[in-house]
Amino acid sequence: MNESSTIANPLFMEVHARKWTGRSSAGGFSVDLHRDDQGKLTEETQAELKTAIQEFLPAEGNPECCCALSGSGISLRTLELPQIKNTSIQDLVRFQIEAEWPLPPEELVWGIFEWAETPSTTGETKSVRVTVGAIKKSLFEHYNHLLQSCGIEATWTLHSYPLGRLEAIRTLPKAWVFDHRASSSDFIRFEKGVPTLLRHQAWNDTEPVPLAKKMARAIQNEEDANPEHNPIVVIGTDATANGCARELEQLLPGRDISSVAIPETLGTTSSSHAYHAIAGNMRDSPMIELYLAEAPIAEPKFDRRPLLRIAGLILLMGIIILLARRIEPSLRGSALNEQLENFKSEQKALPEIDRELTFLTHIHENTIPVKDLISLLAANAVSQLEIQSIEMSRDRRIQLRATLPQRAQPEDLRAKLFKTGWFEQVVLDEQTPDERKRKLTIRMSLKLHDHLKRPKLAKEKLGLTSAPKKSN
Amino acid sequence: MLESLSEKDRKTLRYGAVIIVVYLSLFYGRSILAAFESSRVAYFEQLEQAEDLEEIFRSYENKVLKIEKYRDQYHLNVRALSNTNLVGNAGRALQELVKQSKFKIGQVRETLASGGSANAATFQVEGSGPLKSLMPLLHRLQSTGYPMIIDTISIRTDEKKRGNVQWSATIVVLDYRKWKAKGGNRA
Repeated sequence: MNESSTIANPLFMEVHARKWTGRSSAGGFSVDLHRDDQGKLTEETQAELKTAIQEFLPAEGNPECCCALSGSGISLRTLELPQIKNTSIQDLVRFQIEAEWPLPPEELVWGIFEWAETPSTTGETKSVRVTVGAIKKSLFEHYNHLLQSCGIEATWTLHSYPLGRLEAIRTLPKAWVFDHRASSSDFIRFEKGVPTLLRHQAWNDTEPVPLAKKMARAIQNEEDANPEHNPIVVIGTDATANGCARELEQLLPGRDISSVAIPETLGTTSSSHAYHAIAGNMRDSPMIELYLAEAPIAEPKFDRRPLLRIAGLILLMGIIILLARRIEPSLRGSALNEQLENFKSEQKALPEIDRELTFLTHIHENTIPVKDLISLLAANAVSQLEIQSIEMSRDRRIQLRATLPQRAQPEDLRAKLFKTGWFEQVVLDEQTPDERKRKLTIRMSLKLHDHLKRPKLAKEKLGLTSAPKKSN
Repeated sequence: MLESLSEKDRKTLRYGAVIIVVYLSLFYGRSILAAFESSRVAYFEQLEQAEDLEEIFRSYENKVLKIEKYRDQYHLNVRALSNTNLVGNAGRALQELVKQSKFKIGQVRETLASGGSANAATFQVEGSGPLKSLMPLLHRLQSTGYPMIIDTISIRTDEKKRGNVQWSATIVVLDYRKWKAKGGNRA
């Protein structure tokens, strides 16, 4: 890209601690800044600044604007970060800011300049070298809002970045730069025109001698930690820059020291030559561009919603079960009452059932099994048995009188009857032969078992399915 | 309406709702639960009572079946019996039965029972007739439709007429009205 194609007539603004300057190809402006306790511009300053900017803006078109910030509240550091798979540089920087910066990432606006990859010392993982510039978000928003109210959407960067576009700095591989203007100093280290370290010094001195001593001490402190003998560039008003450079040559003999003079009231781009040098190089190389809305890092946040839903569901079910047990009486109470009333009325009939059952059972237990007894006797009768009489009573006693042809048969009859299991006792009371001794008259006393102990008669076996036949 | 609220407002509403629910639960939950609890206790007592009764009814199923069996066996429904003139009706039914069974009825004696007993009366009956009619008679004696028990029975062959029998029986007629449940009078 070249100057003519990309930046036809760009606006360039610098915001210092006490001065706001602007420059375009058509001209420039400078406004003194007055701040409140929090570092924000006062109402009067804001009004004055707006007027100056609106007068400065071209009548037509929407010019491209780059605004460079300097002063306190700005930090610039260069970091070596390990490359981690699936993690962006932005995320790595955010972690680093969280770990090392005094303010959390949410309160900062930052931009990065990514250097070419450098192999790590271990050789296992590659590391990334980035320069991170940051400013307090509240201050940045304050400036941005001001420009937006004037209809300008600016590109924001740190002032040290366009400073590095100056010919005196850009051409040096590494350099220490003192930018001493507007009663403050920025001590910056540059590498190939890109700032890598910024230390803001609140030096109010205007005399070159004490100022140069402080500069020399600052350089020695830095070089003690990092022994590099880089060229030194002093930027300031004509008198300050030249005076300090001369003093430094005496304090640090043998060092390459130069000076760049810039008028106090105008900015870095005060001269037409400097403006074109900076504007022309602004987009030729990557810059530290500050963004208001940094994309927040998607933290690996544990999604608790499903668990909460399950817990809620369990809680709800518990409550429903708990309530169901308590609501059940209300829902089923009347039906249960009705059922209970029915039961109670039916319960009154139960003693009558008991009474009837005991009555019928009494009849059943006391009924003489006359038919069964006669059938049993007939089935077990020995041959030519003639029953003459039989008496039965409810107390289960039976008297039997019969005649038999032979003497041996009464014992057989008794054994057979006993074997049926129906009789508790079978007594042969009397056996009397007749005069001709052909027949034997017997009298037997029998006692039945209780009805529960008597075996059931197998009538089919006895052949008594119909009316039984009595032996004659 | 909820869509117009910000996430913060929604969160505030949620917390508010939770706090109100917790507050109401703490201060009124116990009394509401107590009210529910008392009705629940009463309900479950009733339920238990109903279950106990149901269990009792279930145990009576067998008894009812047994009653039905005896009713069929003896052709006897004591609840349907007329309260008046039980003895007279039973005696008439007995004599009818003997006659229908082709037996010649002999002497019949009737003795009314004393006040405390569940017996209503005692019949002493004599009869004579063919042997082959004896078994049907004995069978039907137990199913007259009146609560009768044969106390004693004596059967002997008729010496004068071969193939005939003479019998005499003492039959007790029970009075269901005087019958008491378990532990009551026995005939």
